[in-house]
Amino acid sequence: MSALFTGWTGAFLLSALTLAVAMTFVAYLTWIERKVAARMQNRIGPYEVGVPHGWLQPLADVAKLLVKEDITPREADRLLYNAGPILVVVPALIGFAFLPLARGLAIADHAYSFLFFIAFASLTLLGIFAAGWSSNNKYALLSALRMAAMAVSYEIPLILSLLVPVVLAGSFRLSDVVEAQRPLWFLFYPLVGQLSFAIFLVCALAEGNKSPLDILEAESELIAAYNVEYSGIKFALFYAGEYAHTLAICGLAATVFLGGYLGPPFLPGPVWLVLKCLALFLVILWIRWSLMRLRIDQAIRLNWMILLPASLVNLMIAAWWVAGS
Amino acid sequence: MARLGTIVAGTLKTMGWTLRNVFRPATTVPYPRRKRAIPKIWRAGSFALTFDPATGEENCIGCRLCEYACPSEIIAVTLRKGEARTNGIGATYCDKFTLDFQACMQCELCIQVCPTDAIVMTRALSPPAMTRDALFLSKERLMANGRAIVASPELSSHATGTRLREWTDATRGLPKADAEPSP
Repeated sequence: MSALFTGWTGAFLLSALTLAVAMTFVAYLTWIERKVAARMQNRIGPYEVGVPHGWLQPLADVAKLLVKEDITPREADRLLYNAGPILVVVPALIGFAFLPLARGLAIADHAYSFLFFIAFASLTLLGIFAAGWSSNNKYALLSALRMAAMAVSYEIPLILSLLVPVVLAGSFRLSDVVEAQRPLWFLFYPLVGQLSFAIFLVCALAEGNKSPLDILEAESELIAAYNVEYSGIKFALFYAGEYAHTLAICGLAATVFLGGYLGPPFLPGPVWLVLKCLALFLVILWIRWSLMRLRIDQAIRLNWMILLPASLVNLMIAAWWVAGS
Repeated sequence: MARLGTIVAGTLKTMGWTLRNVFRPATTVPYPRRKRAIPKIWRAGSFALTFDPATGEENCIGCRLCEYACPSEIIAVTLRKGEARTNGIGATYCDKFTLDFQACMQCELCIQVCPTDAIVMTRALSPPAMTRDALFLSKERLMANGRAIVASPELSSHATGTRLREWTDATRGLPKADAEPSP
């Protein structure tokens, strides 16, 4: 299989395939989220569009958003306003390029692919901030500022917790990290694995703007979020970017904690990766639809008082363990 | 630290409940295809003007009490004098009786004040309408609803003015409002 994806054409084919699969998943994640959230609240969710359980709902939503009027506020900063959605979607999708899909199969199997992934995942912040600033709307700006505060805080424990598998594997190359998990997934390493996974999960909620840490969205305080002024296809791009970002983060977690493409051989590697991704997404959904939103000071305090020290200690234990063995 | 324990326990409890909900049947009813059984005391259907099934005479005496009672001011009645009824409830009738259902808030006050139980609510789901005109209940439409009630008695309203007066009448066995509290 890997032989098909060599050279420039191979890279192009693989990118197109990954992008198509990722975008389909992003569209259907909205449907999955609505269905699961509805079941958690004793409802049935989308039901009418498409015969078994409204499965055509994402397509209907996309069609609806495409034909909606695209409004730009008169006082908006046009360049940044239009760049915002693109800056959110593109980095989130670039992240998929670094995930190893099978043994020796990744679009960009760079020696520092882990760092690249983190860097691109963090770039979505720029798009969100551009959107919030350029909308010329106080709610959008407040939301963007909150986003900056949250991102600055939560990026640190997120990266520190994700560094634990890297330290355990001894390589920044994601495919090496996966191969190092062949005997045992890093999630099952005593203490360090579970602790860093828990810290990662909390930080992923904050990074993906999911409740209980969706304080930049806080619809009761800030109407909706940085995208108040957006409509039509740009709003859809923000939505897609958010889900793509969450999916990419789930993919990274599946890769570094849950053994990525490793799994019993009756299914191919990429399928295992997708399944683990979906499982993680469902866990995030479960948390999101169960818990209520924290106040901004509580969220920031949770990070600086608990998550950051815990992740530092955790990383030190992991490093000490690796050095000792 | 004790508070941390509470937080963790509460979080797990909440998540346990949401997980339990996922495996319980949903309470949603896909409405137009499947309808819930209408409760006995339902009162959000349409309106009807009743008549005496034995003689076919209208019950409305055109007293306009419903018009005065209506908070939304959507009922309009005009009085007409006619021949005396054989069942002895007078010789006045309503000439025009209109009820604009668009603004009705289902308070049932018109039914409670009616001395002859002439106007009642039907025990059915509120009819959807595609035009405003379809929600404008003229006397003809109200009488047609009344004939429908006679044809199918399960449509009849739970509370009529007479029945309500019976229930709230202390002499018929219900406790008085100012009854002495038991020690």
